Amino acid sequence: MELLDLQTLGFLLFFGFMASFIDSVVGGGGLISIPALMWTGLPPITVLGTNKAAQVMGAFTSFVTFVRSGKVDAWLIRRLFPLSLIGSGIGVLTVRQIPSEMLRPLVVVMLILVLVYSILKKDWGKESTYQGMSKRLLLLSGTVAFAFGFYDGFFGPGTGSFLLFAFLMVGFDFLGAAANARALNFASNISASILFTYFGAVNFRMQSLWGWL
Amino acid sequence: MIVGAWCGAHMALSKGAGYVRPLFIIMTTILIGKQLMDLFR
Repeated sequence: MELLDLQTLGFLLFFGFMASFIDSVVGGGGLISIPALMWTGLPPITVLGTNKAAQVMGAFTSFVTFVRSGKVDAWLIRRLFPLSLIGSGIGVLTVRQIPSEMLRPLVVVMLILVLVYSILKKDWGKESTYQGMSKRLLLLSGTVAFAFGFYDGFFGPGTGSFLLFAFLMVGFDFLGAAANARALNFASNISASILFTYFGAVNFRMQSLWGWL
Repeated sequence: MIVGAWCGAHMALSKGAGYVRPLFIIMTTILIGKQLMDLFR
């Protein structure tokens, strides 16, 4: 039993590290962390809640790191952050009423479009061409921040890719887009983890181990 | 998540956009594969 516990610990340490390492830049850490948490035998809803509550610590860390490096556009994120936060909260509440699985085919199509566009435009995002926002673009960005916040709470897969792509579209380079996308992802993770905690879907023992890693 | 995120973010900052682009493409590709698997399962 003790050996098994050590194995489980080693397994979680390794995969938790890998998940957050990747998640801190382009998102998608859930692809690693959720199966790893499932392996521990936790119920699926607790896996999702625990993963989200742990991810918020990683998201906070990368957010702070990118802010300190000057890669986060503070003016823009100050305006978009609350929208992502509120959107995610509404998304989590909505998923309790409406099944989210219907979104999957649309998500696949959108991810393929994002991928093809990013591959074909080879020089895209090498250097930042972002020169600020017009009122119209800011309104559109606010809508996008709210929509992907909602999406993250409601369904989730690909949120990191979509957000990064959205910041590339307004002219950020890949690093700037990743930094700003992480900031909004941190916002959506906050609401989701608060609500998962409220609904009792977080295993705090696992979250502590997983979160600090 | 804290240690991994710290290392990941610092790696991105030191390597720059040239590191983020392929990582983004790889993760998006894997994500599409995973979504397709879930869709047809």
